[in-house]
Amino acid sequence: MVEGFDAFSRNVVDVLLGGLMGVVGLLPESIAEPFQYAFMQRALLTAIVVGATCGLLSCFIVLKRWSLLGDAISHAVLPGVAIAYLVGWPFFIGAFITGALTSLGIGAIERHTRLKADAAMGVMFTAAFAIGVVIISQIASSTHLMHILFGNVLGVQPAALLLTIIAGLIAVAAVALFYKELLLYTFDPVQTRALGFHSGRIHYGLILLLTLTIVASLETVGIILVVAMLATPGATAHLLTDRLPVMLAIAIGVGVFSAIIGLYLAYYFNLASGGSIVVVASTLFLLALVFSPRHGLLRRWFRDAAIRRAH
Amino acid sequence: MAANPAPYQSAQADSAVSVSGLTAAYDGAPVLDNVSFELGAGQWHTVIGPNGSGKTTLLTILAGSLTPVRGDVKLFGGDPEACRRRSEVAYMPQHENLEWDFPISVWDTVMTGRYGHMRRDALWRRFLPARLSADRHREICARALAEVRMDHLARRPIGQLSGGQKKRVLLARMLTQEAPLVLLDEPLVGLDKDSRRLILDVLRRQRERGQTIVMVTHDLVNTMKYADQVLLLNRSVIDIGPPAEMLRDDMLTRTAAPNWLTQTPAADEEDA
Repeated sequence: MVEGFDAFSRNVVDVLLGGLMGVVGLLPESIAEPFQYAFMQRALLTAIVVGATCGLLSCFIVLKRWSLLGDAISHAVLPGVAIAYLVGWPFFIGAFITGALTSLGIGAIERHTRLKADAAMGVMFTAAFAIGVVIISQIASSTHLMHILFGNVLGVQPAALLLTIIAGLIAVAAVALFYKELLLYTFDPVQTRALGFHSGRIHYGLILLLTLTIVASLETVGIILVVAMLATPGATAHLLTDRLPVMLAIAIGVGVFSAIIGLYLAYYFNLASGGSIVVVASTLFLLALVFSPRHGLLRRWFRDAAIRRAH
Repeated sequence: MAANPAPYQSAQADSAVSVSGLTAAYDGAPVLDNVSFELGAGQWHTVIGPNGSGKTTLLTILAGSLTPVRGDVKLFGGDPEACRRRSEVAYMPQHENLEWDFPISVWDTVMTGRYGHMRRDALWRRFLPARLSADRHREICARALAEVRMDHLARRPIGQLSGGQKKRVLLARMLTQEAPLVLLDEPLVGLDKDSRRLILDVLRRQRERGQTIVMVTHDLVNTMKYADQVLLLNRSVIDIGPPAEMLRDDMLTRTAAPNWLTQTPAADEEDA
């Protein structure tokens, strides 16, 4: 069955890559040059999908103040990866199971005990991470562990790429169909309940979506850095606009742009791909922080100076 | 002002809110203890009590975002969750409890009051973004904004509004819901005279059209002037009755509510 899926995903991915390369072929040859290699083509498609999905979700993460939760889930994924490796499953599935269990556990502790979210996360995700480290120290080679922790987009296989694409499509479809519910729940949870929406379902639905996205991003940026892709694009966009649809668009743009440029840097300078993608995203954030027309530091500095002069 | 829609139908039931044996707690500390009362439909009720007396807790239970430890709540004689799912309960929070940094415009904020109704739109329409929804929703939204005189600021991000404007936006959001029961948590606090006047006028019109109003407030002057019934609350029900009887000094002392004399005269001068 696994081999059947491998063959199927190779076909699907080939079709998608054909389309993508049609676009890349229009670019000047100097830019398109790295993409004559199949591994670079797959890396480009993965990077675009992951950048877009993370960017989309990051808006809700930032507005809901859930950046730490992203961190927690990404760490909690490790034991699942290790166990899947032991049993011989695709590690995508193991990661999703432990990530989802841990995040549901955090949500349950937060809702039903006196512990606050940060304590619940601190306990749950370090415990899960520790279990993962213990298992991995028994079984896997250190290069494999490094790839899980820091990602290696240049080594993505067709099966993993197809799963990433499916996860991305699910995330986009969920946000599109339940946009009103997500907006309402991130903006005003009490109103959500007063209107008779099931806020519990929206809450756990958003957490599962987050888990799905994290797992899908594992091979690209890795466990440690995925939280950056779930916070930075949203934070950057939040500095640049006061409208949610625009914020979603900017965050997706930041995610995709960082992924592509990071990939180039990784190729030409032989850098770790996950790290270079996040460095590009952080640079964009820094630019927005300083130069944003309405919420940037420069603007604030000029405004304060004007007020001081006026008095 | 545009013609008002039909008056509220749900006044078929005599009681809008019926609560018995309600007990609620945060982290094990009791906030409401064995509270029982009934609020008639189509009337203006105010809930009065000192800080920490469980007024906001009571409203959040009615709005469905807090589950009581014990006790029974009925809205219009039926299941409260079913009422909420029919958008029959509107809630206006204290504005400190909202995230005003949220990237959303005045118009979109007010539109969220229609989300419950949009959920009942036919088939695929319920999944449409608010801006593509039926004209009816947008007309109601525009009328509500005009009614609170915020239509000229419809495109403004909510973060740039003043305190009084924020209250008016929340009031407009509440209006768009066209709910037979509205719950208001201190809608008058910290407002200038004009905004205060405007909110009271809107509520008075809604009351005339048959809407049931449950308002938590410290404002005794306007309670005296507008309320049909006053609920004195301090963790349990002290008493319930018409304002003339409830707002006597001995009753207020029993409730430990702020006294007439501690009211700031400036804020009430125009309404008195």
